[in-house]
Amino acid sequence: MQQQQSNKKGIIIFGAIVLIFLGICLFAYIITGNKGIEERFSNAVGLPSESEGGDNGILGFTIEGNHIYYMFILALAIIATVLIYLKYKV
Amino acid sequence: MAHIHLPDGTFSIKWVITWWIIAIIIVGLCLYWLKKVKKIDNRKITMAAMLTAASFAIFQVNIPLFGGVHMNLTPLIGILAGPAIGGIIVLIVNILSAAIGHGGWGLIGANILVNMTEVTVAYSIYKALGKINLDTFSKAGIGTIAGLLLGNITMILIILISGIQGVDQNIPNTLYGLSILAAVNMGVAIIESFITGYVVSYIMRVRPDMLREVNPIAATAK
Repeated sequence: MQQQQSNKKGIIIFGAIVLIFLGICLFAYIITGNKGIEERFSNAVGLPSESEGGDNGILGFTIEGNHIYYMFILALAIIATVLIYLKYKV
Repeated sequence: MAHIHLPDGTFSIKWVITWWIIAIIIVGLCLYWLKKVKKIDNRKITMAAMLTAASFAIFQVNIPLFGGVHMNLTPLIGILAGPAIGGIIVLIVNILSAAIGHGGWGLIGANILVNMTEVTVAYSIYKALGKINLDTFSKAGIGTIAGLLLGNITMILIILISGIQGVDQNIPNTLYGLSILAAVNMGVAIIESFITGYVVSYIMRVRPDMLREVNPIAATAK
């Protein structure tokens, strides 16, 4: 019972915070319009806008930076993680 | 998440060096803490490796929301690994990101400070909320939003203090522009808060021992 009450209290507080920031975010998005993160940054600090056209990725999801380096470093990170996991068996 | 998405050369060399020095001091303190005060165990090393790989993987993905945004899981890092290990993780992720061309090398110092704020605030809020008996999902979600809000404020302060080279825009206009940018970023913070909430709740259910530092009572009770 006490657990349920604390769950309810937590969700109400969290939900209220989410709604406040969602409202603020949508308001700011309407003011600035649809822009990529780099363009949004450049505009904010007064630098000339950078075009972010080109790669449309998969369903709009794209990878930043050099894709080959990304895959290479990610593969190394995963291998290192697996080796550490196997070594320590946590 | 907050990250200074500006190219090398936007900050003067004086400020690049200043932020780098402060970042190195903070990471040095993290290393000292892990070596002398709270020794790192095998469980934490494994978790740090997993969090580093996950954070690097997700940080490079441009999510097609609000025109394009990024996440980097810094609040999750803070809650699961703590600020000391978190400091090492954000250093590695920022260096690897710059290595693939995402973010300038000169801005790594400033970005470490922004990410350290997110890690530390999320950890502290999550831990503090344990005292008022909230559920794990809400604690992690609130911690994430607070961490990312403070991270955005740190980002704005760093840019305002450093100034932008070759730009004659006045400070109030820059503050306005960055505040709007931070407000859009908070939309991403909401998504990240749900992800962090679900991941931490799941770990709390299946491996509460992994959260014993931030949830000592729950971890021992299970």
